Amino acid sequence: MDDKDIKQAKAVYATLCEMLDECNWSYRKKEEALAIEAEVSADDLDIKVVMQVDAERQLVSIMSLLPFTVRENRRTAIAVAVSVTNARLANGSFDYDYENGKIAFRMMSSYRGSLIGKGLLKYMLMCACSTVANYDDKFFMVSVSEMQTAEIINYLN
Amino acid sequence: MSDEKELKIARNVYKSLCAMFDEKGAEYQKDEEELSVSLMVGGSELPIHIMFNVNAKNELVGLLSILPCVFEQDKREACAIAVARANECLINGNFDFYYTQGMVAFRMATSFADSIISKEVYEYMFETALITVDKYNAKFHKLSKGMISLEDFKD
Repeated sequence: MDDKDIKQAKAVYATLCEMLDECNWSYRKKEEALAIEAEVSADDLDIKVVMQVDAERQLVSIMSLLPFTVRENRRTAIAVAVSVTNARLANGSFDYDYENGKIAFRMMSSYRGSLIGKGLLKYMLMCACSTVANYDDKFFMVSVSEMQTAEIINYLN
Repeated sequence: MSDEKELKIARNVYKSLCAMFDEKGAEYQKDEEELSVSLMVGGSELPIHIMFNVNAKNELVGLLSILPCVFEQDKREACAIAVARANECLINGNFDFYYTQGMVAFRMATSFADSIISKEVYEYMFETALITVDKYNAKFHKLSKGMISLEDFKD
């Protein structure tokens, strides 16, 4: 990684912070890590998001860990639910750790050789928040219910 | 933004995408009406089909690679778990599992909202997709045929 990569990553990070300031978002800066953390209230839940600029890979990422753990006897059911959901998304995906029952939404954007505007970073943030808000209660319902595969597919439809 | 302006921007993005393939000397099929590009690449064990599409309305460049395997009903839950395990290991992009059809696809996307995206990004998407699909293509194929177990898939 050279100075040019670090300079570009810092410029993307500055654009990200400017976008959040302009939108009056409340967030915490983690400048060393070129990251921000924010909480958003949507419906009846708080969505936590972390956005980070990865200078080495030239990627901007947004991650949001869902606030519950899938119990062991529902892990296969949630694997089905996450698969069905991901196949419907245009951008980003839910990662599901089958071993520990955690679900996180993830979206990435490469900025190599590009000029990234605030609009793209705002799109990532909005898209992540709306996708998480749309699905986290559904995943929770599947995780605490006894729904079988066909019912899960119908429920998510 | 007007539909006309959206389409103009999307066409420029599409030109840039095609220029990337031209510079690589790749053989590909264009569908200019749909702003899509598709090509077949030889993988280490199985062929890899890649399709790019530029979506003017959503200001998105999408990449999709449908894997050449189909999971029968009795192997679909195992595939859902395998897809989750594969996705956990990826930095960018993800595998989708079309549960009712038993099909697996790799997907990646890049927004071009308010931005000038370089050819390097499309090249990065293409190469990441090739490497990722090539790594998992045979594994998914073997899992679909019952040649390996879910535990073997993990390794």
